[in-house]
Amino acid sequence: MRWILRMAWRDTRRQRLRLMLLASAIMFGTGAIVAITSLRDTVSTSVDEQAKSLLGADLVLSSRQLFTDDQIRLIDSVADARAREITFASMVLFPKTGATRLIQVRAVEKGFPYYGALVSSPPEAAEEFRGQDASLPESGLLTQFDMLPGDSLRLGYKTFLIAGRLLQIPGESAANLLVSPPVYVPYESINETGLLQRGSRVNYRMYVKLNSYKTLDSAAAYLRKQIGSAQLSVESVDERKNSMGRGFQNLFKFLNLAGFISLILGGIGIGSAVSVWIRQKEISVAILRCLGVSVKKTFQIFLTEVFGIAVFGAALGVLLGLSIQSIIPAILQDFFPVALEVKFSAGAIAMGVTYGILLALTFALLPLLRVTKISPLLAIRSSYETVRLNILPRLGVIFLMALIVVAGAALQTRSVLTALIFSGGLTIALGILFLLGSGITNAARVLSKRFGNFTIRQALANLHRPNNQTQLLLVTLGLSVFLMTGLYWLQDGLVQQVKVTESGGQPNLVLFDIQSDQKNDVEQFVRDQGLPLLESVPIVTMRVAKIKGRTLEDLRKDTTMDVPRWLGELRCTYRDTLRGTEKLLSGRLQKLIEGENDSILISLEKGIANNLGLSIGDSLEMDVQGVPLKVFVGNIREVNWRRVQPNFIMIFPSGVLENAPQFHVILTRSPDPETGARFQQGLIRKFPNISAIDLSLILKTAENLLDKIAFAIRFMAFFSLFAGVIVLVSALWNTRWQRVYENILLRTLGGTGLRLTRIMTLEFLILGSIASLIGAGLALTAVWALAKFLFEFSFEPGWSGAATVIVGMLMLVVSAGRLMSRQSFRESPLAALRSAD
Amino acid sequence: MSTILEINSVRKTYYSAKKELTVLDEIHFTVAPGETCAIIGPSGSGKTTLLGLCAGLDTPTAGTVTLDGFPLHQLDEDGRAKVRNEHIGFVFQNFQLLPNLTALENVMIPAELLGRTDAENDARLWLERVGLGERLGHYPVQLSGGEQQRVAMARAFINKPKILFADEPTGNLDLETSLKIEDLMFELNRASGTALVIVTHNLELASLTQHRVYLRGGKIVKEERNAA
Repeated sequence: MRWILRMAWRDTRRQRLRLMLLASAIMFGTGAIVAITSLRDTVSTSVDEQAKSLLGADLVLSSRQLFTDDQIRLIDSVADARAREITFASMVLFPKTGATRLIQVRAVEKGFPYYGALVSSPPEAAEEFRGQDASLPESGLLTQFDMLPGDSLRLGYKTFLIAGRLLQIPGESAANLLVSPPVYVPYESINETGLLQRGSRVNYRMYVKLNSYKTLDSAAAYLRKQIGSAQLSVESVDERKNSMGRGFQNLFKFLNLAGFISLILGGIGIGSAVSVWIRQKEISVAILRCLGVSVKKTFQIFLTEVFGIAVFGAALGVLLGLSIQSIIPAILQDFFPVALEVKFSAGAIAMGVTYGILLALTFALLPLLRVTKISPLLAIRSSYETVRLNILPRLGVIFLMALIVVAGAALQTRSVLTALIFSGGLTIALGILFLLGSGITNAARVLSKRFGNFTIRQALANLHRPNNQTQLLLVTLGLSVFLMTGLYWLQDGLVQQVKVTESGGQPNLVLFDIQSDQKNDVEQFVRDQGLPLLESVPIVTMRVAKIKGRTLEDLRKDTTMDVPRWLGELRCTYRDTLRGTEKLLSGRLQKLIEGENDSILISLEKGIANNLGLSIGDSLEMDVQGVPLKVFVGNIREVNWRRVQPNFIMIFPSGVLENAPQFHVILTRSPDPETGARFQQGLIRKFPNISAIDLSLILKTAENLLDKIAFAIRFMAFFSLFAGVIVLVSALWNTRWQRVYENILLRTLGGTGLRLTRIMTLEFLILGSIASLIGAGLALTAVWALAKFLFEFSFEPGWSGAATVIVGMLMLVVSAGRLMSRQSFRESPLAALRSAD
Repeated sequence: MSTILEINSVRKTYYSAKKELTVLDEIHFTVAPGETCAIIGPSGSGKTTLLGLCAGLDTPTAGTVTLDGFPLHQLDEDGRAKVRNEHIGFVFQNFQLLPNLTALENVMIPAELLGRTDAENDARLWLERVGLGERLGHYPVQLSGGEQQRVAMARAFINKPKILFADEPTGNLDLETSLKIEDLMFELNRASGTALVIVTHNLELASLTQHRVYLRGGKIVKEERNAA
């Protein structure tokens, strides 16, 4: 074994730079895996360590209605302490400037949080606001409106002093606070605001600190059994932890897969480079065999070298991963509800190193098999018959490669199904790139004979030069372009989808919580402000009592049905037409109920109809705030939920709900942000209980969040790009001498430097263009499919970003090609021909 | 007469999808221990193929090849590799030194393969013997053609093989260097008692050997042996 190691070490001499380049192909993938897995471990550890602060209590009970005395008595039987909280959306007005914004009012009793702390600036503000007519608004909100502690804000009819800036809430991420920033006020003062009106969308919470003798599970189960219902839910800190973990897993799955793609790209690069390397080593192998080295030992020498490359690359990857692992939390911290302190994760390093080495070895194994079939005769006869590999070992290695990729993906995603889908998708993408690459190489062979122009002919001929690795370059570059443009188009598509609200006559201001007696006045106010009254929607709150004669409680026991919790409180409307965002799929639309004995035919959304197994004619019993109402499914309709406007699961015909307690939503459109701000200021002064959602503000926030996520994803995609670039440089390096030698021969035969430059530039331009076009084409197809079948939006690709990626890729390929071939321009033909001898 | 190499009724046929090509047929000859032998013939006559079969680099389609009592035609590749390592030396037309190894390391390899602890010392001695004691750490690319061939000869002799196969050993060298290499080769042959089989189309070189086998069209057309 020592001799094998010694020979492997000796053989690396005079090519260590090239081997280091190979190692760096693995480095990027390993680095990405180490960084992401390390972050995953950090989040998991942080969530465990800070588990109780995720809720701020042992249990939290949530309800749409005020807790009754009976419920409170039951809660007290298991609680050491409890704190109530009332949460609802409302408008805030800053009297100093007149600015307004939709916020989330949180009126909380003393005691909360029992675990963790409300962090504020100044620190004492988190306690001081509770005892007085003071508030604690989220820091970003104050920054947005240039407000300072000591200023005041108005909620409804009551003015509160701003005690300080709220910096952190236990268990809530910064991203969560962006859309609707919270303002904490004392529980006792909430009634003075006058904002709690009938029909208002209010959440009631009870934070519970348990008796020391009650276990979390038993207390949660007890309360759930005694008072749990469709309207009241009980959540324990463990359940929050688990649901939170599931949410993060999806993000990590995606990021890990992006890192894994880099690793696979690196593996493909190593495999391909080893293939060329072994071809170049054939004579050395034959000499060793002549000198009496056995097949096994010869194979072991080269396997040891690849192992060394893999170990070196993985070690570099660990260093890279550790150095970037602190960057990723900085990008994503806003999405985590716990403070992240990135720690050294031995598990992450072990995983990165194991996979880096395994993939490098597996992908190198196929070309390494060639070593076993090289005849010693090659040392005395160069034209010896071609090396033929047996099919069985090849199939074995291919099976091993597939196994490692699927197992790796399964480990990254913790799902065999996802791993199989990922591996299948990747195989298809790679297969298409390989097939197209092969077709293009063959086409170049045919085309090169048809062109009279020497420069074009020679550039095309270079593409099918033996060992030119055209296919490998097409695959790696194509895959990089595929990832980059695909991500760009997907993000752009999603943002454009939200931006629809900014264009045309779409509403961008939504006024809600309008009481029936305010409706006409608000409509008049909108008109007086010169804004269009685009839509006025009545909303009636009700609950589903029975479906086809079975109660909701009964249906929930049926595991074959997916009964959503919100059926216990459903907001419906009534009208006699469908909107542009709705499409009738089956049945008929009942426009009006004329007689008391007429059956009420409702319009039901497709998804919920499928979930509940409802079809035309099925019956439902509704509880409209105490009044039972039997209805039938009259039609099933499809709804475009992504349009930001009031959409409904259930629509009643006119003539049924007009007299039921209801509130209204009015949609309007402001031509510019200034008009919108003035309108909201006037609205809140005149109707303090009414809230307005400024969709352009939501859009901006959504864009910010998307940008942050996209940055993290692109960051990972860049790893694939880097791995691709390394493979590109490595592939060019492998064929460097052949390229240099050919160029020098051409120079010897009279080719000018300018002509050689043109040939080479054209060759790389063709290569880069084809790879980019194939990659972009694949991305176009993939994003179109995702848009159509998953996200359901109309995909209109933006070309400027994609063009930037493609042009960037072309410049990169041409520059790398020039760099690798520069020696052919520097050396004199005579010197080069001599060294070639 | 005892033999170190015995070739008996050897035939070599290459098969491809469309046709079969017999490059050697009905070859018989023997080489005695310490004897010098030349295999002579024009290009395409089968000289190199015959050398490959004699040295166990390939196996015959029919017939037997026995080297120092080892039936090379019956051994598998690793078995033949062991025989090559322990009993055979090689000198090639293109020198065939491993490019990433120094002159010293190239010479050490056969001895290291045998597990010899004196591999480095012996390699130094052999390189000094061929006049390259000052160039131990040089890589092949830093040596002239003649120097490379001398390294190859040191490598071929380090395990004191019973037989040395040389494939056009002076084919890539100028006349003056060729003569020096030939002298060195025959000197080492005499000094170590190693049999020498040279494949060449250089009749002058062939005339220096004791035994000459003439090949044409894959058959032995003439065989000459100097009188004892």
